[in-house]
Amino acid sequence: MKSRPVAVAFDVIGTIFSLETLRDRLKSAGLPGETLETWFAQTLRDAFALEVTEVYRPFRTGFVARGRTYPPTMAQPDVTAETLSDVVAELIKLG
Amino acid sequence: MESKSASVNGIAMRWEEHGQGVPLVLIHGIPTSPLLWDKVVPRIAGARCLAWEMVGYGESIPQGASRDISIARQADYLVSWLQQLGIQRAVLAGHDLGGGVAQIAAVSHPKLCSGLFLTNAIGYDSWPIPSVKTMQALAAVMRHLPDPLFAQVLRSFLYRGHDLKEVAQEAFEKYWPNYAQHGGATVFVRQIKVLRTADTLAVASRLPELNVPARVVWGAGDGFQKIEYGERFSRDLRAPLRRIERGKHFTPEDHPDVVAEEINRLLADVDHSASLEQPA
Repeated sequence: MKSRPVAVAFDVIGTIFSLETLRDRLKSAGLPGETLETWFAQTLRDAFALEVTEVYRPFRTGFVARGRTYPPTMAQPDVTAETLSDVVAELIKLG
Repeated sequence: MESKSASVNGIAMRWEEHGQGVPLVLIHGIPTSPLLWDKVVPRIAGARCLAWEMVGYGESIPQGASRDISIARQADYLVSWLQQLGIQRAVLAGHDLGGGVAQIAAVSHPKLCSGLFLTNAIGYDSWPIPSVKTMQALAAVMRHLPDPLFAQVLRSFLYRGHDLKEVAQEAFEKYWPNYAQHGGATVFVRQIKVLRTADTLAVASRLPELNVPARVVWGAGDGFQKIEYGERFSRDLRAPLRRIERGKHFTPEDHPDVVAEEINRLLADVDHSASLEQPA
């Protein structure tokens, strides 16, 4: 390699470590485990929208905000922001 | 101010009204509402202040759901509203998009406009600003933002445009509830999707033909609408330009004293101009 790269970007979440740990947390929170991929993809879409508007919010905030509007979550009124925050806490531990 | 409403060509229009005298129409921009002028209006003397709400903005967000809410169309809505109120001539004052609406209405209906006031207004090719262009291009992504995240986008926009942080926070608390109540990011995307430079370019060459008193106030530190455009308005309208050196975009909220002072001077200019028109 003749020249050093200026920057190296790593895809971390879902690549360096798996999201599977979250699935059990989702189930224990009373949410369908199969929603994980869509929920996560929509959170990434939101993060992309924030990035282009030059607004930063922590991943946890975005994940919980998306979760609160996600149809399977909305159908279960007993699932609170705290519940969702607990779910994503597992992800933070992995990071 | 007193909240008023009327059905104009089937559209429920609303405005805030205060005082008596020469009609002074105050037009807000995005993402604001007539509340933009709430600290300016009490400082205006001898005028009937009418802070009009653009269709599809503020409490009138639902009225914009299935209508063209471009600024060119807003000028049509404004003229229809004035005609219904029986106002044949008024001083037009605009901020941000509202300044564009005022320019289009003035050029299209010169007999309607007795004076023109612009503060950090869109015009020429000054808009949409780069961040709004990006949001327009990514409308399909933006519109899905959940309320807690879109609220942060709105807050950031307001903070970047104010030079006084506490006023920026007040502004967020004024404007966020209307977005939250009516659809959040979906509404904002509806508003920005129809913002077209062509609407002001269409009238730009005719601004010098406006033969009315005019004044320009500009927050010189505005990153959205640059001071160079304020200077251009000043030249084309043969209008005094008052710079607010530390001011940013939302001058009516951060510097209502300066804005009101210059509007009062314009009202005096209009009075003088009208008296010159009358035969002795």
